[in-house]
Amino acid sequence: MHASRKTLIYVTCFHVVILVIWLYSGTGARSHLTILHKNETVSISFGGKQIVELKDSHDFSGKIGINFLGTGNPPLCYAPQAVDNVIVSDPETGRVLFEDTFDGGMHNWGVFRGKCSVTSDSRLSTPGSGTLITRKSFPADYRLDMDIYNGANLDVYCGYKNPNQYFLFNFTIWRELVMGVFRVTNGNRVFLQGHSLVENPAESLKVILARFIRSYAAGLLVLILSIIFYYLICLIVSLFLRKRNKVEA
Amino acid sequence: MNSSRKNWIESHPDLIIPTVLATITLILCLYINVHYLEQIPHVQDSVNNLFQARLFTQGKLYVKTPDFPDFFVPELLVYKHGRMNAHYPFVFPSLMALGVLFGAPWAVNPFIGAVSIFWLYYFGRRFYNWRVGLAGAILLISSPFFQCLTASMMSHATGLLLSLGGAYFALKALTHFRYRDTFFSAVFFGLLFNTRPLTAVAFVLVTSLFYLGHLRVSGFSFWKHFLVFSIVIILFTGLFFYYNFLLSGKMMKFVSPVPAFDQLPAGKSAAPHSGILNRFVKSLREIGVFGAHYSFATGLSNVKVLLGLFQVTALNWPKWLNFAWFLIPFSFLNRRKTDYYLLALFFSVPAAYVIYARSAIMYGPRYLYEIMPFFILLTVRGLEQTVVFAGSVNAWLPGIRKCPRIIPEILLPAVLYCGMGYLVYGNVHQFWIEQRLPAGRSTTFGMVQRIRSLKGFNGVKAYVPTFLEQNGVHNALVFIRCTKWWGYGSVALENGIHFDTDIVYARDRGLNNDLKVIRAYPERNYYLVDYQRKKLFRIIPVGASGEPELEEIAVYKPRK
Repeated sequence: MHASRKTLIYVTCFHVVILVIWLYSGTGARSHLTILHKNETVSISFGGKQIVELKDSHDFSGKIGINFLGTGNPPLCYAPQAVDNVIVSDPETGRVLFEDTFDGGMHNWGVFRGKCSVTSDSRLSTPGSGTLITRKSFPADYRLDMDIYNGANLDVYCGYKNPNQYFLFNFTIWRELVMGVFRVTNGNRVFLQGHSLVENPAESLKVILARFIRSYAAGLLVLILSIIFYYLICLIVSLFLRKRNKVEA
Repeated sequence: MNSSRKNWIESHPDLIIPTVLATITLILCLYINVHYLEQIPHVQDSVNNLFQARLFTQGKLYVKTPDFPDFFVPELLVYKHGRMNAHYPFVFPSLMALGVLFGAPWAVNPFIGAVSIFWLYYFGRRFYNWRVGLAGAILLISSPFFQCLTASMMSHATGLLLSLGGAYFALKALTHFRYRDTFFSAVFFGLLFNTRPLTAVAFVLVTSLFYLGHLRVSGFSFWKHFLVFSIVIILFTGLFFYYNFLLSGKMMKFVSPVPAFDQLPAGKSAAPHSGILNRFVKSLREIGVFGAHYSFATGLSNVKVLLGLFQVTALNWPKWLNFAWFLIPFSFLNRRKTDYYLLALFFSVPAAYVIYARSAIMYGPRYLYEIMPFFILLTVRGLEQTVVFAGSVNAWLPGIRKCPRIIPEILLPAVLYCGMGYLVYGNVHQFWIEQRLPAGRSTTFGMVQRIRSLKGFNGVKAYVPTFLEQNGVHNALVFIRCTKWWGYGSVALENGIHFDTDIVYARDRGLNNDLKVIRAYPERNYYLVDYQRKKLFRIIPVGASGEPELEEIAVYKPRK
């Protein structure tokens, strides 16, 4: 195959398009979650849209936590699920009570179970399952914001006092994303409310594109490795033949 | 005789390889069906298709609804106005009917799968070369997704064969400009429309666009080809609606009972609201297209999930390698019309299912199953292109021009195809041999990640008739106690279509409710099988307390 101008133009254009799609999809699908508790009312927003509002008079004060439910459905994520930009603020004044972008690791959190780590792009993640609880407690009324990446399959704890007393916001993917709000009292889980969630179409599209583009990159890598392999073999053979010709001459 | 046979084989050398591959497929899938799936349907759809097939063998489209439908009608069968039938299109039940006539409906799909493998080889060989055909057929056989669905009693195996046939003739028509190829392409897609309608719509649209792309190609009479294609497709579409008319009494009225778990989350309907179109769309909604719970976001989210599952299921290779090669043919200038056509077919089905709200998953992302052959052919073509491109570097890389041709022509393909062979081996090893599931992986999403998961797949076990035989149960009315569909679903077809067999099965709806069915079968013995606990009870209609009572008879122990 001769690398004509036409070939070069096509190959360049094709891969520029691939690169653009890669850059577009590369950050992963992000969903913003907000849990607001004020005057015994909990409201939950997902992707900027309020989905649940419920009244509950039980004490909401305590720590917050994140429980990664593991990779029981790995095909849904093209990158590990992760959490970032956890902010707890006062709903009245907006004063930030707690902020963690995971730039400095997980020192604000205690690992309760499993293995969690901070990724190279400063996101909290785990290859399997794991539970983290903040070291700090919060008053009853607060607003919790966080970004969830690549398919939420996790629990968020609020008002966590001990393993038997907390509020649980469960996000599970079963073909589509569903969430349930539970209250755990004396170890008994009481279902309060549930809702189906719909991801932003743009985020779904990102995931779809990323699947193909990243796999294509893997194919391209095999191609490059094949070229290197072939080049090295041929180079060795050429050198061998040259040496033999020289000896014969 | 020997001489003529020898001559025939010599003149058809290409028949040997696909015949061997098809035979392997047939044996493998029959083995899976007999040994793991126990020769019974494991999904409601299969139960219904087999029921309809039995009706066809008796020259009927529907049968009288039995008394007490709550007790007797299998899940998803339609019963209205005294008629009972399955609501699926007629092609697959017709093929199953052939199996019923031969006493082996469970062998229909393995046979269809074998023909598909045979044809895939020829597809690859005709439009690329024998290596693509051979590697493609091997890849398809090695796919657990293919093995599961081909061994099952689902309509997807038929869908795959018809898709392959339609695409094969369409490509032939676009290459040789022959009307008969266009005709056969339309026939296959028309039959596909009567098997998997939405998939067929996607393929027909793509094929029409490719015909349109030949509008100005000299020697190709676009309008005549398009006319042939359209007429045949319209005829088969008419057949689809006529069959629907025969079943439901209305052309445009589709009936599709869907259980609650198949419903998707709430969203805005995308359906328009006026006139005939509205009535048609309303009818479409009932079968899930633009359904009441449909929104574009849910559709796209569903397709995202389906593609994700397809990525890991299709070949069962390491995640990133599954889609690694199928875009490679487009990296360079030597891509072909065939590549584009296959790629368009591949993407058309996920795109079509964005408008569908009920994409169920069973044995894997089954709604995408019909794109498997195109995906696999592109994957092998990508691997082939990797060989060709890497082997051509001596033209532009310095210092290696004296390299013997054996290296790019034999060594390089050998290394890459051995790599693919290793992936296939790993896949077969993982699916068939390795018994321990890695942590966190299971049969979630109705996906089968180990062959042994097919035993009792989807909750369906075939033990009840054997259990009753072991205990000498005859002339009986047997209630099946199970909270899920599969308890009664596993034996519903044993009732025949008239519910008058030696043992008649019924759902248990509580002993007091069961009494009204018992009264309708006065001459029978009455039993109850607890499906989950595998226990057999005798029903005493009037016990010591005056209420119906159960007397435990036996606990099922499988024969060794």
